[in-house]
Amino acid sequence: MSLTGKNLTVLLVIAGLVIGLGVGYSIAPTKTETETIYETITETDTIYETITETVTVNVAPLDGTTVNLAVITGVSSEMEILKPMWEDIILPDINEYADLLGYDVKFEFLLDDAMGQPAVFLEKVQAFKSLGVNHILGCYYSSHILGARSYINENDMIAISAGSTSPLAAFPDDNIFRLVPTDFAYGNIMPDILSAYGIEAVAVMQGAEAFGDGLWNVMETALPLNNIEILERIRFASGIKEFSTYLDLLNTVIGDAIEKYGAEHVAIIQCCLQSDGLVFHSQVAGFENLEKIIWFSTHGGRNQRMIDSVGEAIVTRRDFGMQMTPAQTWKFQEFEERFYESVKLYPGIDQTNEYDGGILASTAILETQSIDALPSVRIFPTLAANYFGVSGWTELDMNGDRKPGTYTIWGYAMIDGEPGFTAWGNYNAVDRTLQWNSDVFVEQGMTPPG
Amino acid sequence: MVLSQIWISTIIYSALLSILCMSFTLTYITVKIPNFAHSVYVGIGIYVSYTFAKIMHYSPYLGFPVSFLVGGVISVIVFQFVVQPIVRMGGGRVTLTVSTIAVQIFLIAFLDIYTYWLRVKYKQYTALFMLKGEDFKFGGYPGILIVSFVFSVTVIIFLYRLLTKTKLGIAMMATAENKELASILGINVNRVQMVAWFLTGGLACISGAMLPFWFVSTTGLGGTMMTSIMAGSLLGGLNNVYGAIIGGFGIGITEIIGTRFLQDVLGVWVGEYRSIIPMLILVAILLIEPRGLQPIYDKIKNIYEIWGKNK
Repeated sequence: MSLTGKNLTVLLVIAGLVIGLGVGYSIAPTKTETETIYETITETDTIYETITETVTVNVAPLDGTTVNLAVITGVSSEMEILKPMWEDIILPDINEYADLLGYDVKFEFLLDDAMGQPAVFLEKVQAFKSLGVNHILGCYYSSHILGARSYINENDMIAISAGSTSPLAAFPDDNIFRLVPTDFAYGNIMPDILSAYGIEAVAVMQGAEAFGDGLWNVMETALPLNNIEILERIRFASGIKEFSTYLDLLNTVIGDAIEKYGAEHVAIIQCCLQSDGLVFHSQVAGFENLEKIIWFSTHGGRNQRMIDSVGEAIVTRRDFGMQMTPAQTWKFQEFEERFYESVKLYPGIDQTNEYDGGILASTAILETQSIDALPSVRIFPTLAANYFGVSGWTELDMNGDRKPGTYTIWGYAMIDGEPGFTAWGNYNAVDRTLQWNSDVFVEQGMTPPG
Repeated sequence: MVLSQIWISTIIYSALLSILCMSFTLTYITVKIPNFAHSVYVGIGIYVSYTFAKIMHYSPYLGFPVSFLVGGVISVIVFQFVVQPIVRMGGGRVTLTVSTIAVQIFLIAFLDIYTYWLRVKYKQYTALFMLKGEDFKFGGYPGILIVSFVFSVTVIIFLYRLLTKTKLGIAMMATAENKELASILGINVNRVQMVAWFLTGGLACISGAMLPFWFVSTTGLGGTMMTSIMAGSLLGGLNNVYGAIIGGFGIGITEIIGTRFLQDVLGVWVGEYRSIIPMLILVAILLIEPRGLQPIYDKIKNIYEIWGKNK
């Protein structure tokens, strides 16, 4: 028989089958047989034996460690306040609390400066991450927060801001918590207060940055709703040192408004950093119309530098500012005393929030017994909701931002014949009620509003 | 008051700027490079005034001679230990210019250390301060208005007499023209340049010492004025130290009065871009006439000479 294609195929199939059968048989698993055996055991033995075993349980994993908290300032000039505040007030309080709890934990802080640049802020955050530091405090500028937000979230860090207010940085379910209400709150509260004071026309001066723009966006609508005319909006480049062009322009605008409404019904609002407000007021002298009216400011009313630089002139302008600092509480007053002793300045809202941020961050670490950020992120809203700090209740909203609470209205006044400042009233943001301190008005020779 | 407030601000700002422009131009004439460390001398002057007023409780005006000395000495140290070695090693203008940036970083760090030390030792804030309260009033005007203006005019007269009527000044100009030739003629080039740098640092420091009387001051205030200083120097002519007073006042008036005028014409938004004005002037000068107002001076000089001859 010749080996044609057909024949060859058949041969190969048969050969394959034979070989496969053989291979399959040899590698097939062996059958197992099971047999059930029943056996009854009636013999019993009672054995007594004491077993002693030492089990080590890690109740406090952080014991014996040094925990580092990172503090990043917005600009270099803030360092001269933050450093002594942390050294003399915040750190001792945190470590004292850790001692009281019986933990052998030491907290330290690492201070750095973002030099006003979001890119530099991000670099600093990255540097701290490389050092194993996951808790970042300070974070005063919204632009800095926004620039570093992705990195903070993706690298399991936590940032607690003492000063950022832009609604653009309000995100739920991220690792950033802000101890200041957003501009939505302040932008609506300020017109309420102006209206209650009897102001009918304002000029708004705002810095050309996220803070100023954010407030303007809200006040642009809120002011007319309170029947307050917006005379002029001035948007100035932050950080400039010479404002005479703006002041000259305002002098003309305010002059016209005084003729129309009367000086007691015209005001200027400054939506800017404390340093810019200081520069403005230092150059107002000589602009007659600007000296006749009341000023309001986001950071005004209790600035030692203002008193030192401007003197009695600031008392005439009052420079009312609202700060969410419950002036009547012993906690705030004690903090204010300690702060002044250490820094020789009076604390503003940034400083009170910084203190509360430090306490909350360290408490989160102590309670979770972890320097990782995620446990702190999980616990932070609950901790904040149950904490009454030097800045009041620190309850946060769904975006991790502070809920508005009680604001104290600070303003300059003559105290014992010297320029100083005092609390002129209180605003409750929960029920939007305002209470003026009539005594203060009478003492200063003024008629209480309303 | 005859002068309005905006003009008071303008004159103070322009006078201080013109002093800074003169000292900046003097450095350029000496070593033919822009000195970026110039802004730090301003900061040094600021904190000499601070030390006198806030720490020693003296009038900051008494600190002006000290500012001049301190600024001069630091400037000479920079010249001797940075500029001269680089020149000896054959470093060109680019290397020298970059070295001034390094000096600026170095000096500002030292200044920050000093201010921090003051803070810790005396428990006083050292940033964002003013000395307006330490100033006197004359005829209803702030003392610094008169002092700054008179000082800027005095400096220009002093420099004119120094550079044209004294041996030292003539030697300085000769050295600036041609160092090698000046050396051959027996001029001690190193000493002459040292004097020029001393004057530069001293003048910049005094200008800085006056700033806290009108401006809220920090260590970085000088840096914010650097663009205006360079624009003023360029406008006045980088090789003409007398032109710096015109450049300084020109920039100062444009920045304030010019911006105010534009606000009336175009709207308040113009004010936000005020800091661009010196930059635009810088660009315009570099594009149109890099020698600044020098050609105009030359023309005026020619006309004066012709008129003198015809007389």
